[in-house]
Amino acid sequence: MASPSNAPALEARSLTLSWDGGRSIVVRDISLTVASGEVVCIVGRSGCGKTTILHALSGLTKPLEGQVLLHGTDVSGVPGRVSYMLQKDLLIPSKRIIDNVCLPLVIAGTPKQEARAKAAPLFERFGLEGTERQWPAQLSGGMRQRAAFLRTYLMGNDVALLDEPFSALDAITRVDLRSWYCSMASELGMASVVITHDVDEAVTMADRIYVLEGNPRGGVPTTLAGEVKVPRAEALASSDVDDFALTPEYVAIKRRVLELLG
Amino acid sequence: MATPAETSNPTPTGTSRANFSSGPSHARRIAVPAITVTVLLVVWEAVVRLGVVPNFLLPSPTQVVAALVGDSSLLAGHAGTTLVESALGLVIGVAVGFVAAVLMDRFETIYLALDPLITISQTIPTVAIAPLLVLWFGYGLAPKVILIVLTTFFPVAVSLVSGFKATDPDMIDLMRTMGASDLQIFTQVKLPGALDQLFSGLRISATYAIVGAVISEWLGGFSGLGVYMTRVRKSFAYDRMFAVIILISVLSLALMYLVDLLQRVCMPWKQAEDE
Repeated sequence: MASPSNAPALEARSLTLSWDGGRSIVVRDISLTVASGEVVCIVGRSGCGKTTILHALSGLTKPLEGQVLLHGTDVSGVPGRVSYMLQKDLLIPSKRIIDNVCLPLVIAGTPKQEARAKAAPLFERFGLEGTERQWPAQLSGGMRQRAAFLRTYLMGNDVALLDEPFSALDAITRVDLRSWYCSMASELGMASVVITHDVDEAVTMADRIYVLEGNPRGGVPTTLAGEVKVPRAEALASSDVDDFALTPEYVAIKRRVLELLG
Repeated sequence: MATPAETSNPTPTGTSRANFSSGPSHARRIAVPAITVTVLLVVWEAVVRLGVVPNFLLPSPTQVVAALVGDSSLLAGHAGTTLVESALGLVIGVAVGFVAAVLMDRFETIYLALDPLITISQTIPTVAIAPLLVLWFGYGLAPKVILIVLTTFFPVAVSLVSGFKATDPDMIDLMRTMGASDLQIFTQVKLPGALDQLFSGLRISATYAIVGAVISEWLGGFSGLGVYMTRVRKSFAYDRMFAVIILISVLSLALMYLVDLLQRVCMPWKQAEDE
């Protein structure tokens, strides 16, 4: 299929998903889009199938119905085309940080030395200078997550899927990393889909928020309850994310999301 | 772009954990067992010298040391044989255990087929199977090595299989999103992740190897610590019996130490995790 230049970076069209080959439906008829450089959050209660959606978007599972389009090309069930980052940093304990972040390059067949040479200059930009030769166990949670993000970036895709990426961190590091991530993602032009159950996280990070409703374990498939736009430009104009959190606009958006969550 | 607070964060959880788990000091850790052993040896010597236990039944520690020194060249020869058997058996046992574990991890049918067999094989006592092996394979090296292989492959196979199974499924998913092949997932994630368990198994196997060699030598052979043990037992030379027991224990400890050393070389990141 030709890839029209105005197609969204990633698009899900009427996804219907199941855990068990169709006997029970987890997610029914969900459509969403992410543009280049945009951060989109998916908010829903625990167990509503957020991770199932992410698995489908990443190509790890094939949707029962519907399509996943990357720049207009169907990539349903094809892993390796979009990057993927989880709550756990998943750094390999037996590899030094440089080799951990180089992993996607090495897997793709780049010789180790060449991969290291490619990754090394990025350490400073990602706030990781001096950690190249360290083991993951020697880094703080925040630094490990930065390394995980550098690895995600080196996967070489312009769409990243993040499953509660900061929820394992302490509150201060989490706030720091959220704003750091958003500025890095827009600088790198990466489209991001962030899954979270934290409404505040969604409102501070996202340009748009998709709210899910449903209870698949209780036999009610998850559907899209609604979409909330966050006036990100204005938020960034106020320069400080913390200030944005004190504005009436922020409270209004948060209230709207909470209403949709039900 | 890193915030100063975060980049200089020196893993607070790590340091506090270290404080709690640091336990007794290094000196105490050496002094307490050393004093215990010394006291035991002194009591043992006194009990024999004072005639509480007749000397023909229990030699004193000094007599044991004298026997160890007096027979040192003979013991060295026998120990050489036992070590060769143990090393050969251990290497083959570990190789067999490794291959079995990899196959059991890769193919579920093989896992289902081998899992009960491996467990059952460990319920058969070594002393019961050793005479059978002598009958089948004679008095040479073969029955000894086979017995050691049978006892050493088990800890390695079982610990490796559980190590492979403990791989984080999210890690495998992540590798897949990078487009990794099964072989890459195995070499980059599963195998290094299971090394810790492999070495735990190997430490047990190392001690089994020496004990397995000695047991098989009891039942027939021309040289080895087990053969020496049978001979001195028949001549009621209890001091030499004790001498060879001590030698066997020292050899087992040395082999375990070697495994620890090998682990430190193979897993340099372990030190960073322990700190």
